[in-house]
Amino acid sequence: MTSSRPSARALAYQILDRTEAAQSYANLTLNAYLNRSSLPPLEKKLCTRLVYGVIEKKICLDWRISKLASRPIESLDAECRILLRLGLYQLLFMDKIPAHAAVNETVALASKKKKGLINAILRSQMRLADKADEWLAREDPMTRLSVRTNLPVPLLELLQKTYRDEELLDMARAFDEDPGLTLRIQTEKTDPASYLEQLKNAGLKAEPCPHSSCGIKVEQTNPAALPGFEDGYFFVQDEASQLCVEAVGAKRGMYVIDTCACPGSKSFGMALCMENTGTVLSMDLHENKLSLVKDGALRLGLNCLQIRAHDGRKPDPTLKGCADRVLCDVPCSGFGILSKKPEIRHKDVKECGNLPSIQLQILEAGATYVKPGGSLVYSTCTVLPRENQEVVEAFLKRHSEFSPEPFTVGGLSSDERGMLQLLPHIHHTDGFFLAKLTRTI
Amino acid sequence: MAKLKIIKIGDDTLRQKSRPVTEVTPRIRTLLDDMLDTMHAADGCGLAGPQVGVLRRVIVVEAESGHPYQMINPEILEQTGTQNEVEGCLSVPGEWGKVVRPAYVKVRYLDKDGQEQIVEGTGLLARALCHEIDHLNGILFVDNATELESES
Repeated sequence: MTSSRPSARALAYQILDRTEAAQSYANLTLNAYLNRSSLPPLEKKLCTRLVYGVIEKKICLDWRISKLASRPIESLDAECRILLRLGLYQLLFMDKIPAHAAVNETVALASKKKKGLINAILRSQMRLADKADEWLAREDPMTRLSVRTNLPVPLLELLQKTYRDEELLDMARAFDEDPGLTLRIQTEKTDPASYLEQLKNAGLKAEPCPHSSCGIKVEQTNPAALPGFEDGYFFVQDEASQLCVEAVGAKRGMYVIDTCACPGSKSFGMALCMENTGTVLSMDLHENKLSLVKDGALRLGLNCLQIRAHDGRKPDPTLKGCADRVLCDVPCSGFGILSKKPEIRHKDVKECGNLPSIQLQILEAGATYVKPGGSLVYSTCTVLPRENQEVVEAFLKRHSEFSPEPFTVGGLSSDERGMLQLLPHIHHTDGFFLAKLTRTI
Repeated sequence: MAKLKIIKIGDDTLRQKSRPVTEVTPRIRTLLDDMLDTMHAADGCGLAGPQVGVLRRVIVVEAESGHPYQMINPEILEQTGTQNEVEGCLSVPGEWGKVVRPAYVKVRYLDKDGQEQIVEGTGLLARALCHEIDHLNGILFVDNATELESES
């Protein structure tokens, strides 16, 4: 016989164990394990929720475990650590799972020698649940903020230079919300109003995006299961990215370059603004990832895209001064998209330290393609000024031929420096930065 | 120990009644160890003789990890209550369904040394014991399952 319920937890345990040991991304491990497993669909859902939940709340969970066990989390071995996180997550954040089930099924996964300890700690949580506020009040302010936001201290220290603590708490709460799915409608094939109708007729909860006129938010996680996917009626794109495309302002017949195009959604959006005329040159460093762009363009029926591999840091002299619009959607730390990729929060901020110089290099290379009178848009999906405002300011200092071009998209206006920082707790989008510049000569 | 091949639904062996073990020989002991090994490798919590092509009344059950039972000639002495939970079967891969089982069972069996033992179980252990003993009588869980859910 095979039993389903304990296995979802057992699988979640294996995945978390693997992810921690290999320091790899959970989504890759999760997909690999789920594809191989014979769990029924509902159990797979539970497993996914447990894996992402534990990663998202790890800091708060670890803090509580160390309090309940009266010793630092590092002094526990990997098995205890991971099982305790799993059990505690169910106790604290999953109302539908009865407490005794959360404890018993977690203990059942433990090896014989560890059962006693895990059982004792989880049961003490049930007994001492209301002590947490008291314990938290006794912590130093930084630990307190870290536990409440589930963001690591080094990242918080960086963020505190720009954001007040209350704002960070709001941002963290916004990151915890289920992001759902945001679609950009293929406006050459259908229009947002009729597609929205189609979704509602299919019994799905959907609503238009507040800012982007071509965007729809839908309560569904698998885009391929939505009506009109095969026919290319839409593609997945966060509202912030849709606004970024709108800010580029590509028009019919233009020549537009997307220097870091993968997976292609911004190229698709620009091609749609151009009504599938002119040219969008979509480039990316990795040849193998370009098939994503090719497949997407094919599905959407967009043939004004030219796709090729190119290192965005290196200016291509053959493209000098030929583009009406250039978009540099640079690689970044990703701290704006924690609601979609919760594990990013555990990235070492030191490792992201060399990003600004790469970002500036890409922006400078992209700048060479812009015609006089043309526009250059710089974007990231992070909320750290060192990758956003500071990069653009450094660029402007070195390039007097460019000046800021303030803009308004979807009712949101940039500042006078042509910069707009979208924030999840204010704009209900990803944390996203964009800046628009004009080549004056 | 060795990993045995698990027979899948459609094979007539799964539909036959298994014969009692008359003598606990070294071969039976090896079979029980191999079955445990096979069950672990397949991530199951129970396995019966017919599932590995042996029509003898032997089962292995491990409802709680680290607590395996290797049972010869298991027999339900008492059962009370009902539970209705989801289960699957290593011989019916990719299928899941709810089966009404007793909430409590008392089972008599011979251990690997031929000693008579009694086990009482509730929850998953009760379900697994019933599921495996069903195999010895040619019954598969899909025969009685409701709300069948398949992998695809």
